[in-house]
Amino acid sequence: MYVGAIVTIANRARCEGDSGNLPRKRPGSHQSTPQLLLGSPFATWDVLGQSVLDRTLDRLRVFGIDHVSVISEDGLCRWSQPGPFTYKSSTAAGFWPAWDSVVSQYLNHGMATLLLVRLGPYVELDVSDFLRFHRESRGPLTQAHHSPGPLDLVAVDAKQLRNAEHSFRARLSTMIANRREYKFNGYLNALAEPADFRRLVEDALRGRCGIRPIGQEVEPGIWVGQGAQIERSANVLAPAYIGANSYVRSSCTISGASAVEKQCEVDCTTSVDNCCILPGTYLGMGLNVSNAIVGAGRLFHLGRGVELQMNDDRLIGITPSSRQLTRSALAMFGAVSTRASRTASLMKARRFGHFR
Amino acid sequence: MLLTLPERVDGKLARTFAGDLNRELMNDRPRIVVDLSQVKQIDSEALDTLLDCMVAVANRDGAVKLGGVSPEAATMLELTRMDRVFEMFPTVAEAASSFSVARLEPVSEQAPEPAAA
Repeated sequence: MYVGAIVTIANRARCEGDSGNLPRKRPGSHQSTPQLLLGSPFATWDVLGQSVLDRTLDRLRVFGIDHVSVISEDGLCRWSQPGPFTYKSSTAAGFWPAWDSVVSQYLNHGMATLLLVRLGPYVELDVSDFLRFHRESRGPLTQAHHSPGPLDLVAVDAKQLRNAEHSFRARLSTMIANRREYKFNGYLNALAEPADFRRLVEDALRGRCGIRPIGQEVEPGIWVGQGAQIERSANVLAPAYIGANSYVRSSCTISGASAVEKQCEVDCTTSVDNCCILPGTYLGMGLNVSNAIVGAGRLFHLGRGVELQMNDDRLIGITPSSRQLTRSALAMFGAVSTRASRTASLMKARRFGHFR
Repeated sequence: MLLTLPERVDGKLARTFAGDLNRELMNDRPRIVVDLSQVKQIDSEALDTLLDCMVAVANRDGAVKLGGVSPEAATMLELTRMDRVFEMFPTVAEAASSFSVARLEPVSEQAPEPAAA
């Protein structure tokens, strides 16, 4: 049975202003409005070496989903693998035209079930069990529910999309009224606040969820990515993560379940405690970075709830290798309106190597 | 002397404020309170200047105290470890009142009477 999936990454404006026919946010539910962290959606930031988006795509592949497409807020669309599909949207065309195009192509190629995932929350759902429940319930639409409320995770019977006369969005709207509920109690992180993102990283480091660090466990609780360098005098306290090609210079201290993601540099004597350092970040010499998420030249302090734009490369900046990566990505994809789209596109390029 | 820093403070602006301090430095034991309640952004050059001021004031047996420190300024001070260098107070008034020295009570020349058993 052919299952096609659409993973959407929406920003705050889209979700608040136009959630279309997808289930809307309700108080207390986990259909959280995807929040921006340091200028990008949470889903695009790395959690111990791989973004929530990439991890979600991996999970879908593991559960045997045939095709996955990722649609960003401005309608940029990428297919998960080469095949009979054509790449329609190379520029920002709007979310719904891209969405309609993807559904149409899935239907033309015999899709039986459409899986809709919005990031959003990080959910560790047994997708095969969810799809089995959907098939056995014989309803047009099944929505996953966690204890606080419904999730942005829906399975749709493709036949119902084919048979009606109206647009896909209108057909989906009519189905939502007759949806079945699939209850699950697995790990869920709403990823609605920066503190949620930090908690996800900490949960992963402490083994409270299914996320595994990308790298090697060099000592109990200390994972190090490929090509990472840690000076002998640096002190890394477990649990901790040092991402690929990152450099922790002499006399630094990394503690409090901190994660230094890939291509970062922590300069001499700086201490990092209870922090997420996002990819490509340079931390200057002698700093005390604590209880914060740092990246893209910004710092979000979790305790005080303030975000600082750092215009000072001596303190917090971008590593040269990261700058090079950004330039390459821009050259490859041209001008894209949001950083979120750039990040999503870049990740897809790396993963599937398929662009036209 | 009270110095109120604006929302954005860079090195150039900080040096202007430091210039204003020079008059105060003519006095012995200068007492400076820096109001950081409006500060949203402050760069490392400005913090360096603040540190220079503190040294100059300390050389004349005075003190620089920070009052009403905004969360943004507090984050920057913590990041650069300058929160350990400066005395910080929740409000400007508390910073100012911290300069007041406890009055010494005159000591009686008579020996205190022994306490009753």
